[in-house]
Amino acid sequence: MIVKSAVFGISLARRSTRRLLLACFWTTITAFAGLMALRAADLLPRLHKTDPMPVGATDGVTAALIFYLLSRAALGNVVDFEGSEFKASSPIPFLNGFIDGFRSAGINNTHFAKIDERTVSIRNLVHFDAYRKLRSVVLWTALLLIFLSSTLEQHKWLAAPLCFIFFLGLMFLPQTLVLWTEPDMEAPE
Amino acid sequence: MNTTSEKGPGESGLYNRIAVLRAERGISRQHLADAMDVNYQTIGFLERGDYSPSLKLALSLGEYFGLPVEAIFSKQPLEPLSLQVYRVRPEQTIPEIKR
Repeated sequence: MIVKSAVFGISLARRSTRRLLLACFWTTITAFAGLMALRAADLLPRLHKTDPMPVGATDGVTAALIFYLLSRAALGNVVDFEGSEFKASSPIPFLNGFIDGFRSAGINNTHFAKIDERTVSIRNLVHFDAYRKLRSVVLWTALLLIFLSSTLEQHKWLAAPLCFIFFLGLMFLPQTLVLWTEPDMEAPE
Repeated sequence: MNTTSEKGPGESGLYNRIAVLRAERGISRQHLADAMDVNYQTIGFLERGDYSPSLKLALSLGEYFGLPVEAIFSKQPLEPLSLQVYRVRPEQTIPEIKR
């Protein structure tokens, strides 16, 4: 569900604005995955002849940074909840308090944040929809890998960007669907 | 309001009188939402017929307005209250209304 009415001063009440933010988010993610692929295929000029960090570590750190900033900016407005309580979804227990505190700053000052039967049904529906879509993606990727198996060594540059996109899809596709499909929000009378 | 066949029942396939009942009592959406313990957006969805409420919510609305559920929700277009109570059609009193 959408719990913030604005992000960086941009109102999220209108669906068109939310769709624009989502387009920016996924375009940036796709562009980054493309750069990862080009770099892995050695098609980009290297800034340093030797990477001081282990292979993939710089990509990992950059990806994590992009993931964090963009998810906070555009998609952190859709949060998990359980029953009628917002849920800290971190698998690491000691982080839950931190995450809850982080979220409550955005949640407490909004009139969007009221969990009820409709929001629960939307959450369940978008998760079902998102994972059904991802299931198809996984299936087609597996078929593609089988098809390319004889030349897999030549296509290993695809692995990192595919994993990156898949991971983000797993994390953010349900939220994207909520932000994309929910109609314009009405102001309370 | 979602009472006539011309407007259609919305995504839920249900017609309802929530907006009329709310206006009669001078209650805001937020007030009704608080009373029903739901998000005020949900009241908007209900009024437009875009959301089909759970049995619990429908019964709570009936209880709140002091009416049976079938007086609030219907699968068939609901008659305007003026017609139902006084047998007066809206177009008989305000000629410019095209129905």
